Amino acid sequence: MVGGMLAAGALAFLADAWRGAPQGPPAGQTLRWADLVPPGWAPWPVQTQLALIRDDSPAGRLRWSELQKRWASAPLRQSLDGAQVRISGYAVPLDGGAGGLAELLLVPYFGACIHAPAPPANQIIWVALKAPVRGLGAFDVIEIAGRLRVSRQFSALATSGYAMKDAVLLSKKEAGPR
Amino acid sequence: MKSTRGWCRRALLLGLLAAGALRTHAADAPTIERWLDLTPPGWNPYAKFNPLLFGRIQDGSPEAVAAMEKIREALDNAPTVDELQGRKARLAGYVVPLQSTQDGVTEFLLVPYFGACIHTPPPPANQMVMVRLKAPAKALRSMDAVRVSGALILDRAHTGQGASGYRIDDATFERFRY
Repeated sequence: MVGGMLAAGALAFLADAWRGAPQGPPAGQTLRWADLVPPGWAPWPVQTQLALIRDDSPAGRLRWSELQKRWASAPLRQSLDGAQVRISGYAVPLDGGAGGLAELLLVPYFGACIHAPAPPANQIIWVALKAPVRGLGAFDVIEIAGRLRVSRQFSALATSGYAMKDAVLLSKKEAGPR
Repeated sequence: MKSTRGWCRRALLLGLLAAGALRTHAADAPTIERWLDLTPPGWNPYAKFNPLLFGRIQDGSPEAVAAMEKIREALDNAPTVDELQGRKARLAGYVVPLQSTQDGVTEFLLVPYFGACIHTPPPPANQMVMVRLKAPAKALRSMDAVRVSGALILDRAHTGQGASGYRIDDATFERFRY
């Protein structure tokens, strides 16, 4: 297992070297959600996972809330700060008006943040669209492009680890995030 | 009489050939590896509601709660993709154990994100796969990360942990780390 982790770390390192990190990926590179997680970071320590098995026990619930705190302060990938990227995911609406949706969270799976706990902060991007978009609903699959900032923010629904201002909506897609 | 039998035999033969062709077709098609491919394109029960409604769900707004109840029902009856019957799949997700013997876990739900069903409401039925293992897995625990391989079967099941829309029989799996 440790060997596997080391191998995975080495692969991630090689991938970074190939991409030219730490300056971040070249302009407009398509990011996968796994790229937002610092290599080697595990969303949960093994002992926490063991304790999570029972949902209804008070201890299980306590561990779960601890885990969510850990997720809100999840480490971020500093090398991505300022990178020009495109990424696809599910939209969680935050703010907008008559002109349409203006602010949203981009999340990696259907259902996240609404009536369900938020994923780790390194799996949530706070997005302000360059121009409001009409007809965009909760959990529509979208692809956006813009400059990524490493910036932890607290909104009504989640703590996000990355932010993209003046994001451009490239498409509302039927093919999904990776 | 004889000609009827001949016709029947020919029809049967043709049927078998067609079934064989379909089977080959399903087996030759690209392996399903993304969760979104299990969702009919464009399906989104949230779409008919005001997108900004869901930000207020935490406040217990009656309108939001009523919408969420309707959505929950739609999620549990979420449509599957008919063409996926028999398609090879290799899906990465997390284990929610359902059945085990003294030899280990024999049946589990594969869910797309950590914590689903155990500490949070279940994902839509088209994002839950019931997995019946080829061989019982001794050290498999709740929320272990696995990559499951096998052929998809369209089958709706209501389990104590939520409704699933697909099943994989004789499944094999490998563990992985993100």
